[in-house]
Amino acid sequence: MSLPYLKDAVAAGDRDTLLRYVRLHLGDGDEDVGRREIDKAWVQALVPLLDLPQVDRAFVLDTLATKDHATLAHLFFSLHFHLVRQSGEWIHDGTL
Amino acid sequence: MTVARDVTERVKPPRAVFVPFRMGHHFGVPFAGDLQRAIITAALERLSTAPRSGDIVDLPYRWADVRREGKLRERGATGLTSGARTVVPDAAAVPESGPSG
Amino acid sequence: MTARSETQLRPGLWETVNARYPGSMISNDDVVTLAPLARPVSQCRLTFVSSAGVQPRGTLPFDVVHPVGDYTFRRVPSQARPDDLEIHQLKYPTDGALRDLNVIFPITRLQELVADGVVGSLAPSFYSFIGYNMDPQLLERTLAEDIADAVVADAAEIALLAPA
Repeated sequence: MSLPYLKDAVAAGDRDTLLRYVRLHLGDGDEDVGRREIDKAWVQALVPLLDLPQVDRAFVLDTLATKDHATLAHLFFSLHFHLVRQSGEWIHDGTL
Repeated sequence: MTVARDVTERVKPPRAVFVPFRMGHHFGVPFAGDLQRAIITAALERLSTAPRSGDIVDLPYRWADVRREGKLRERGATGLTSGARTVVPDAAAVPESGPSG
Repeated sequence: MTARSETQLRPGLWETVNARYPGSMISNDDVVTLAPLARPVSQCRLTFVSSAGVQPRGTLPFDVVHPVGDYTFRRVPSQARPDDLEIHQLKYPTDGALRDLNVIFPITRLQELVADGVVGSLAPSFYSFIGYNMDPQLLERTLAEDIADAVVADAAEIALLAPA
């Protein structure tokens, strides 16, 4: 969806369109795949924490407190792609 | 250079050549230097031969043939498949097969 | 138009992309006037422009995670070797290009064509960006204009474009 299309959806409070777009982006053009990709990223984020390892909470809290919203939003997308790449199941190869 | 003819028909560049290849493979297949070169020169030829703006020229290749010849070429030339990202000067060593289809 | 020898491998790409990302594709109603070639290609300075996300190693990677795209470009020295370059791009198959970059960014072939006298010379830089951009107007107004200005400043006379 083009940027004006997305901005119109924001202005109209049309969350369904925005959700569809996020799934298309993360699913390489396939909404159902995007839904699975989101789940996949969350599982990737869950598993490393199950053994209760030491984490750098100060870094996380400092990042959340000091970085602007746009940078944090970008970090969120970056982490998604980082995690799905880590999963070994990479769909973004142009075949979908 | 386009592998998406229908998109190019909408964009309407002044000169265009179309190859029916896989996305991301506009100049053919790995290590097929003669094919890559032939596609570039066919595109450059349009600079002097295009009679009007907006024409799209279909180059006479078929993806299945190009891919098969690429595999045969790699099988026939030792060492070509090792070392990803390394371009091997293959064109001089392999006879010109030319476009098919 | 000449007869088609074979149709594209992914037919209906235009409709597919428009159904998924409405308003993201560029279309034009008219063709631009054909610019005549002033002198033979063997005397011309050539540049190459690609949306394949190719960039010199060590430069800031293209923003492939951004939900509305990256509107920047990279200069690629035209004398670079494929090993000096890397690809940062999603959404098109790079398996061929990762083995031989010339499949999508034929820098070695263009250097050879100059050495063989087929092409006069190469402009100092080629230009590369990524094709996932959700604002076609911004793309045309900024990225395309920026690259066009750079190509003119390089005194390139002919350009080969390969939209990945």
